[in-house]
Amino acid sequence: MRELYRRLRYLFRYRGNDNDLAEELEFHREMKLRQLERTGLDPVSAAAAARRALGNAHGSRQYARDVWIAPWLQEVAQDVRFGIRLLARERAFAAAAILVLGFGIGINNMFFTVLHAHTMRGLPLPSAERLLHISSFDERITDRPVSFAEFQDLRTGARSFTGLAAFMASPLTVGDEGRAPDRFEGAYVSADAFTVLGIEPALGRSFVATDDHVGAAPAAILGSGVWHSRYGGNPAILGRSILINGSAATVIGVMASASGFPSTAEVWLPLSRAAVLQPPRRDARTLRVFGRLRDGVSIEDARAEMQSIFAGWSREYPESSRGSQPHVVSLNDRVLGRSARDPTWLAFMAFGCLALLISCANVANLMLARAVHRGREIAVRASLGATRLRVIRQLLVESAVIAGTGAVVGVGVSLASVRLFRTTIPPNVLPYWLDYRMNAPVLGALAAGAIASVLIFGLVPALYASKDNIAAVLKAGGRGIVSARGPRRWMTTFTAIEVGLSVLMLSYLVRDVQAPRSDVASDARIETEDVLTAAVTLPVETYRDGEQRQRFYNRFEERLQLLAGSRSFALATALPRRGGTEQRLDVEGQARGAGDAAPSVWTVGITSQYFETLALPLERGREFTSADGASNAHTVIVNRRFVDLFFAGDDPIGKRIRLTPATLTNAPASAWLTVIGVAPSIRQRTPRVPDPVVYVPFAPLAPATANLLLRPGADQAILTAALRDEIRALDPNLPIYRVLTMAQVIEEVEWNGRVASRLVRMIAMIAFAFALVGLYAVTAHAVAQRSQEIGIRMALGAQASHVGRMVFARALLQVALGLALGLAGTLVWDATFGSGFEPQFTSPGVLASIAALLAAGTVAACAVPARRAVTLDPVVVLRTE
Amino acid sequence: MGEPTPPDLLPGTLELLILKSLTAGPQHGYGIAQHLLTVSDEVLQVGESSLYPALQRLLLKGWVRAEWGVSENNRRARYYSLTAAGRKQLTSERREFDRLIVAIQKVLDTT
Repeated sequence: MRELYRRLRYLFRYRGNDNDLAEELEFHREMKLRQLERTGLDPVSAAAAARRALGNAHGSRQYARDVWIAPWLQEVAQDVRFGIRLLARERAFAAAAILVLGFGIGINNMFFTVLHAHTMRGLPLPSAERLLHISSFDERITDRPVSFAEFQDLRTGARSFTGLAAFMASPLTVGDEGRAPDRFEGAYVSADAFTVLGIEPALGRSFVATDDHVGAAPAAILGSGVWHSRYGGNPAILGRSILINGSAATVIGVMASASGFPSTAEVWLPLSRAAVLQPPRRDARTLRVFGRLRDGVSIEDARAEMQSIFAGWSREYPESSRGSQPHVVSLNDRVLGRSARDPTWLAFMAFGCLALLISCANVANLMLARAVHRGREIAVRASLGATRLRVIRQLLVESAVIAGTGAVVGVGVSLASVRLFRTTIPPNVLPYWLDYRMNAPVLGALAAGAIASVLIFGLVPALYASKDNIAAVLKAGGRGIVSARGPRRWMTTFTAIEVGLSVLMLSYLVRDVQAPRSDVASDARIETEDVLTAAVTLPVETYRDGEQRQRFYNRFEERLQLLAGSRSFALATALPRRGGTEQRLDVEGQARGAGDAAPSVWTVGITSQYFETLALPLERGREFTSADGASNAHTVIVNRRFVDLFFAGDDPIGKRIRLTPATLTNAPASAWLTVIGVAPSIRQRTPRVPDPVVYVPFAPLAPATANLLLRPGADQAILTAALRDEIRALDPNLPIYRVLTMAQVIEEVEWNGRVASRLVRMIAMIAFAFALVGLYAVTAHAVAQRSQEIGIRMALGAQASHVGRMVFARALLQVALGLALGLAGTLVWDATFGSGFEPQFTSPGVLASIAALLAAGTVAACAVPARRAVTLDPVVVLRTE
Repeated sequence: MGEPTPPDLLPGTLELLILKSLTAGPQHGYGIAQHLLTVSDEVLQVGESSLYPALQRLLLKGWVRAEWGVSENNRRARYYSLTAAGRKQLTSERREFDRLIVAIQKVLDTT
């Protein structure tokens, strides 16, 4: 160990040591000379004698130096210098190899970083895999929440958990005396929720049992975002009384920035403060329940225990719990929505691997193209006595220089692309557990794969250093390797594989791009994306009943009318893409079979100008008027999808339906409602296929939260300010929040789905570009190899068009091979993962698009080499021989 | 790795001799060579091509240390001196060498 250290120190100050040695030897020579002079020799012959006696001074120095550094190490340094010089001369090749390697590593790493964050890393909580999520389902509803009464039963009855906690996400208003309130995502949590999760506040304390019962001193915990934006990050916030939803609460703690449980929450209140829990009805299911498994208890044990508890309820409370089953999954799986068998997930992984393969094949191809060029040089080296090992070492060092630089570029590209990707996500929608942090092992593995392909294929030229080959290579001049078919065949194979893989990815890309367009028939696209939207929530603490809320909305509409002038506006319980209320449907005259569950529809409460504001005219019938808001009007508007599903496309105007709340098991059905209009199918949720939606008049609902839609006209900032003023005039404690254009709303809702599509598109395009780079490299190389042949052909009278055709023919062969490979691959892929797309792969539109893209790509990739071939001057080419 | 051993000496002997000559005190390379020459009645002529690599090896092992000093004729010279490890090495190697000599003698005396 000490010896190694001394060696390293020597290397470190190599020059200094070398000078020391030189000076020392010079001193030695001088002393010797002096001694010889003393013995009586004349100075000249003494000097000669001294030198003779000492031998070669340079040799001595060399020997002494070799004690410290093995000579091979010095030679490697020489190789590195040589390699860099060589690459500096072949700038185009070096740049291509380094960029392909760098982007290959970087983009793939970004892909896997995002994939890892979304599907694998899981919650950033201690022993997150021991956290389970408990919900229920019955024959009608999947994924149903748990009621407060049920939660209390579970907490006292279940033995599998060290703690069971519940939460209910809800937006909350934070206000202070004399300051405009703000609206934040929030959650009501049971006292031990944070303890069960293992989250500690950054400041102050968490909730304790005494905070969480009716009549307790009101307490609240703030997120670091609110703390900074509203209170300037002042620690004096602890103990201060603020207004939450209009009533006072004392801040007892502040959470760290990455603790937005359950997703992007910024404010937390004890569960007992959630007004909807009173009175505790068994079938008022609004809570999400999770628990931490006791040591030694498996998830199966917990499932079995839950089964027996739910079975007990089924017997004991048949009217509210009959057929209710527990659904127990790990909180990680629930949040990530993942499953090992999930085909989308597998397809994604496979996609990433394909992209990686393409990059590796590309790098290999570039190295091969170069290898063929170097055959002659290697042969000359070998004939001058370079051993095979020496040649291999030099090639390895050169490859390592490329690989090293490429890896550095790769890390840079990953950092930049992850950052770029991050900027495409709308603010405030990123859940706390999503963290696009790079994963060192993944980056390492990617880099290792790419670098290995550089090193392996960088060694190919060494094959020509074998002794029996040299003569042949030299005799054949620069074209020596033409006779060696191996690498060329490999290059053709690699290019074909690359093209094939990128065809597979292109088929995905093309279908992904074409898919939304083919949906237009069933899904009305909201074209007026600059519609301004905003939300306002009336806290239950100050607006206790529907009547009070109704009065507020009436005054609000009057004021809005003044503000909007001639522009249309509407209020709605939910914006497009933002969900709705699930209800059970009965259609008059359509008897349900015994035991058949009532179908689900989604309801949205709207005011009179809703569709006009969205610039989506009704297909049939009329919009609501203020008369429909009267409690005895009983009118509804349904969407196109609804008509297709329940009236088989017949005219539904005048038909009657009945709605029943879905969350309550034995709720009374509504009166019969008459259909007065048919709206286009505006999606309320994210799946591609729109749901059946029933629009009901807004006024009788008098919901706690209303969304405002306003046709644009004036400057948005002015409009927003005016809107805030109007609301403040009505009630100074009400915040207006989520002031967004319709485009922003859709972007926010769909970003998660778009992440996938964006990633896949990006990767597919890069893979395609890589394949073209590969094609270019191979074609350019072929032209360079055959320049003499082409020269002779042209000297003998070949036409330019003939030469061009020759170049393209070869490229086309590879593309055709690749296309065949890719088409076969796509069929296999679709059979394995399911295409998930409406247009079939074999549809003419898709095939034509792919063919067009490939053709354009091939022309682009081959244009430069073909031009070079055509413009070759036979005289110059032949003279260089 | 091309380490030339002095033709007239057993491997490792030169190092032993250098260590021994340094017991008298710090000495520069030329001084060590002169010392070996005079003490051995001009038998051991150590060339610099073997002396300096040997000194470098000793430095590497940590048995000697080198410092720049001023020679008797007022020139800058590099003085080598024994380290504690070097002293220990000398005694153990001396013992080893004696054993070797006795063994060689025995072989040569037996016919």
